[in-house]
Order: sequence, then structure tokens, then C-alpha cells
Amino acid sequence: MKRFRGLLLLLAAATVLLVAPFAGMEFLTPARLLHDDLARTIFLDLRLPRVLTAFLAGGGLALCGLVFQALFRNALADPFTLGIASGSSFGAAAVILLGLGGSLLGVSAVAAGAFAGAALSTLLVCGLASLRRTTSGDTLLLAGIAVSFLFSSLLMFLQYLSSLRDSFHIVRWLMGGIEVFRFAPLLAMLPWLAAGGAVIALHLPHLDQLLAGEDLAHSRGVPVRRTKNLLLAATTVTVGAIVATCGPIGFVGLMTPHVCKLLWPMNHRRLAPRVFLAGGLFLVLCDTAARTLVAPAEIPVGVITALLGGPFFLWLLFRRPTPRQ
Amino acid sequence: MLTIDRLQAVIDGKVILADVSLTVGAGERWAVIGKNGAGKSTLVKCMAGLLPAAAGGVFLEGAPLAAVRPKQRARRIAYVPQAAGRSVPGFMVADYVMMGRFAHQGLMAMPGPRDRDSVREALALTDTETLGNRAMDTLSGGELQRVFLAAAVAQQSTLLLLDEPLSFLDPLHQAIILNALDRIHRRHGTAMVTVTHDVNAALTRASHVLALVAGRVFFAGPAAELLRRSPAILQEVYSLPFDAVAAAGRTLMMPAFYRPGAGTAAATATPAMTEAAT
Repeated sequence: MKRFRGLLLLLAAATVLLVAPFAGMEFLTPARLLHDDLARTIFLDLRLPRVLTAFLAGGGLALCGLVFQALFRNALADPFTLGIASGSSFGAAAVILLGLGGSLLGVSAVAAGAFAGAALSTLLVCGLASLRRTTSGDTLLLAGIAVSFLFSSLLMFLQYLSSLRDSFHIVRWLMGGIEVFRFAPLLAMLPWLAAGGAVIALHLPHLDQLLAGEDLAHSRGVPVRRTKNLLLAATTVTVGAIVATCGPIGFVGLMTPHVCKLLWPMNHRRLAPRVFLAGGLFLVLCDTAARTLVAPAEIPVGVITALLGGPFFLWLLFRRPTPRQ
Repeated sequence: MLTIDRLQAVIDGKVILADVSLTVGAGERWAVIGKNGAGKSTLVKCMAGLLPAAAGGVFLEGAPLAAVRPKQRARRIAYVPQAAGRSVPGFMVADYVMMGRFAHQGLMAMPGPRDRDSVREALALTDTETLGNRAMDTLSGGELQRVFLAAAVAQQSTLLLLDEPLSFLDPLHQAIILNALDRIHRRHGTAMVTVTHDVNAALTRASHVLALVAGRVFFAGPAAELLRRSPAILQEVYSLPFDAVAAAGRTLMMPAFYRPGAGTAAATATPAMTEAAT
């Protein structure tokens, strides 16, 4: 059983990816797609892009969580630790409040604002940390928390200033949701994910080394500072692009790596693909639940991730300890 | 192979090392002794390229250490940090020792047959073959220290820096580590620089000894010469009297707190000691 965990995960991810686009307010059978134009439109323009976006977003967030936990050597580090979530939320809120509408190449102004906010917060955190000439995990983490609070207050201030309608729009955005239409948002997100993912993939052994200790990593030939900066940049564009498309969806990035670390030994080259698959699988499941449970209404997916994931994680954490050998 | 030239090291505005010069030749086994805070660990960190020199410098075969590419440096110098404060998340032992091969691997650090060979050899040299499938966070202190040593051995460097490899270990595990170091030295002729508080381990295993007092070189030379000038010189280094004791055909140095009737502080305290404490 233990030896087949990886295979099982792969099968589960494939099954969910195949089945989820058919599920929804109404279950579409493959037969209906053939001779029902409306069903085909719903399937191709709404459900397929949405499921694919959810999968990539979940996988990307989980992968970035894995990177952050090694980078900061802190179990509580997640993609939003550096204030990325509050930075992007502030960016999105500012755009909503300014009433900037429209979109370019499938990227809405709100999404662009969110991406800019994410990048801004990371730059701010790294700038602050470099004042102390260190990229030590704790300094970065504390700077991230401080910046996070800063953006949160600014966000509250914006909400205070805004009209009821804008305020609701902002709150709804903050809850996260994968409401994509056709493939343009996915295609806009993809290059950032691919670039960030490629950098992360090439530095998986470095993550093992950094996790074992920066002094040791250095003595074994890892260019520590350069590696950390590269990984910070990669995670920022990845998370920034995801948050811009889906809003700040919590929990996936924090918990998925932990679940995988409970199931498999520490080795980032082997963990990373599993974490990506598990994150994608999890978010597709959550999003499918979000759009079917109270259909035709929708539950914000961020609510579901914590609701489903929390108890599962607690079960994993407190089940009878099995020695990992 | 490694030359330190009038090195000054500064941490948070405080001068930790001043005017330290030293040459470690191929295959030499240096012991670094001195009181806590004398700058031993800082010196080793400078030799590992972890701490930039405030003045003077460290040179690897004539090239400034800071200018040597990381992987190239790692193929020459390996480092085992102090046991305190190192983190061992749930790596498998075999994976962890393989991580020592980083400098010899290419993109993505995919292990090849040569990597597997040197990991196997490192496990054998450190008596850790049976631990390969264990998770690091299930090991005892003695096992852990051997695994750390194994990872450094797998690195196949020509110089091994060890910061207090015997601390927190019982006598049996100290012996296991010392024997492993002897085996590594015999097999590969690896030069070693070992920070230690065990004066006798330094005197019996090392070819050379460096004694630091307040960040400056107090003695640097062959271990035999230090032994000849002991216990007087050790008293200066540690501000504590030592007695020469003949045991098992050797002369060992015994700190004064083992003297009979040494239960009272007055029996062992020297003027320098009380001065150091105030």
C-alpha cells in the first residue's frame, strides 16, 4: 500500500481531472456533448477552463508552499507569508475602488492590480530584509508579517472609503474564486506559472540543502544568496499570477506540502511532483464542491478549502503515529 | 593548500580574530584549541568561506577563497558544523549523505554511479551502513554525528573542517568518531582542521595544534612541540593549571579540577582564572 501511494495519487488526480468538467449544476454526460450545443458551450467555455485553472492554481500554490517552507525553514511559511496575499488584495482593491474596468488580452485590470500588489509586497519585504544585510529566514518572515499588516490596514482603509457596492466587490474578491470564462485567463496565467515552475524545478536539490542549513548548503557548493533570490522571484510571479486569476485562496499552499511530508520522506526532487498533483487535485475537488453544493449559487472556494482540508489534515496529524521507514 | 594571511574577522563590530596567519599543508591534521569565545569556530567559518575577512584573507592554493566558485570550493573543502543548532528534518540517511555529493553533480543533482560509490564508501568509513534507511529525526546523537561526518566524507574534499565533532558524545561514541577520522585520514590523506576542547585528543591525534587566545594565535606548530612545552603552555591558553600524567605509555594532560581535594574552588583557582571570571 505504502509503495503505491504515489501511483494512487496520480490515478486520483487523473480521475478527478477527467470527471470534474462533467460535474456542475447539471451533470453533463459525454453523449449530451455530442448533440447539445448549449451543453458543449458550457463544457468548453466554462467548465473545462475552470477545472484546468483550478488544477494549475492548486498545484502552483502547493508547490510554492513547499518552496517557502524550505526557504524559511519554518513549518508555518506559506505562499502568503511575504505579504503576497495582502499585497495583491490591496492592489486588486485599489483597482476596484478607482473604478478601472476593462481588460487586455484576457487580463482584467483587477488581476493586473493584484499581480502588481504581489510583486510590490515581495520587493518591499526583500528590500527591508536587505537593510539588515541578511536573508535569514526569521528576518524575512518577520518583515513579511509586518508588510502583511501594513497592506491589511491599507486595505481596510480603502474599504472604509469605498461605496457599499465596491466594498462588497472587494470582500467577494478576497474570498477567492475561480470564475474564468474561456481560456484567456488560463493562457494569461500560464507563462508566469511555467517560468516560475521551471526555476523551482531546477532548484529542488538546492531546497534540500537549504533546509539542512544555510552554512552547510554553502559549504557543499550552493550559492546560497543567489539561489534564495531566484526562488523568491520565481514564487512571487507564480503566486502573483495565481492570486491575480483566482484571488487569495488560502490553505492549499500551507497544508498540501505538510500532508505530503507526512506520507513521503523529505526529498524535494521526489516531493515536488507529488505536492503539485495533490494541490491541483485538492483545489479541483474544492472548486467542484463550491459550484455544486448549493447550485445554482456558489460558495467561495476559499471557504471550502479550509472546511474540507482542515479536518483531513487534523486526522492525518493525530492518527496513530506510524514510524516512517 | 589553505593559507590564512593576517586574517581579521569582525562580527557585529566586534573583532573576533586579529592577525591570524596559518598554513595548512596537504594531509596535515590540525587541532584548534582555546577557551570558549577565543575565536575557534569563527576561524573555521572563515576557512569554509562562510565569513568574509575584514582584513587579510584566506587563500585556497593561492586564490582568494571568496573568488573560488562555490562548487569548486566545495570539492576542496568540506565542513561539519557544531552539533548545537543544526536542523535535521525527516531526511532519509542515505539521501542526506548523498546531499554531500552536490558539488560533484550536474543540473538537478541526479546521482550517478560514482556518487553512489562514494556514498557507499562514506557510510562504510563512518560505520553507518545499517542506518541508510532510517529517517534522520529518529537517530541518536552519536548516530547523527556519524551521518554528518559521512555526508562530509562523501563530498571527497581534500580538507575537512570539523567544529567540535566530539561534543555531546559519550566516550564510546567519541572513540567511534575518532577512529572514523583516523580511517578517513589513512584512506584519503584528507587534511583536517578540528576544533576541540579535548586537549588529549588534540595532542594524540593531531599532527599540529593551533592555540587561540582572545582571537590571536598563541601557539601554532607541531603537536609534539606543544606536548614538550605543556603543561605550562596549556595553563596560559585556558587560564587553568594542568598536570602531566603518565598513562598507558603516553603523557596526558589533566586539568586541575581532577586533583585530589579539588572539590573546593580555592584548590584549583588561579589568579588568572578569577581575573577571567570577573
